[in-house]
Amino acid sequence: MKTKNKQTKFPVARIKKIMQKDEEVGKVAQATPVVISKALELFLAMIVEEATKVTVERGAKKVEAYHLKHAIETTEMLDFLKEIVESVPDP
Amino acid sequence: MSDREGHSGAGPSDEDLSLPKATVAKMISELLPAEVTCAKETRDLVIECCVEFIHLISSESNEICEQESKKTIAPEHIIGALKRLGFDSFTTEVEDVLKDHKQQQKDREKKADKIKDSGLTPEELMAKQEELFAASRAKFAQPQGQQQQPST
Repeated sequence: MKTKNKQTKFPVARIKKIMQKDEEVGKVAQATPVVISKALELFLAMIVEEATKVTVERGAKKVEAYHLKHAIETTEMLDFLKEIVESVPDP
Repeated sequence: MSDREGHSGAGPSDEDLSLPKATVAKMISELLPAEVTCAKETRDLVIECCVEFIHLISSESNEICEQESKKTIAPEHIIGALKRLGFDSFTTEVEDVLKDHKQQQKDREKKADKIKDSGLTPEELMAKQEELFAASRAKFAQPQGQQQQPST
């Protein structure tokens, strides 16, 4: 995986807010959003990698929405995202 | 035009709660190979996917937390959730981040304690040090028995 100079991080406070949008979620330890931030980084890297594979496979230079959709539909770990890309039209 | 990019205090309204576009766009471009770019539509979808991921992990770790009869979601619950959901490959790096974070906390506390325990402000501490230096200087300047006071 290409790793350029990666210093950008997700905002930890925002992550906590998103977590607590779920009414079931109560108190959250201080270190918890920090840890989720790391998991999110890895997750982002994963979906971008999978989508990019499709882009390159199809000889395109831009990662289009349907590349992402195809990656999600063919990767079991990403099953939970199917609804999000449902409405993306196939070319 | 959008006030959504995080300035502390003026955050997005509850309904708009998402991740900052600029941050995610930057991270995506750091991940892509040189000749490839990302369509705006794709970036927006990726953001939605990230938010969904947070919900997924939160929900699962909340369950684990309740099963342990705890009230606060701890990092260990997140790690458990990742394993349960098939994101096992993430756990090593996540555990490293946790270790670093705990170490930083310990260092912060150690520093704070040391200064707290002396009960003195930095100025008072420095003044004390000066007194000690002056005292030992005086001891060496005056030989035993003779009180030779230098004229000031």
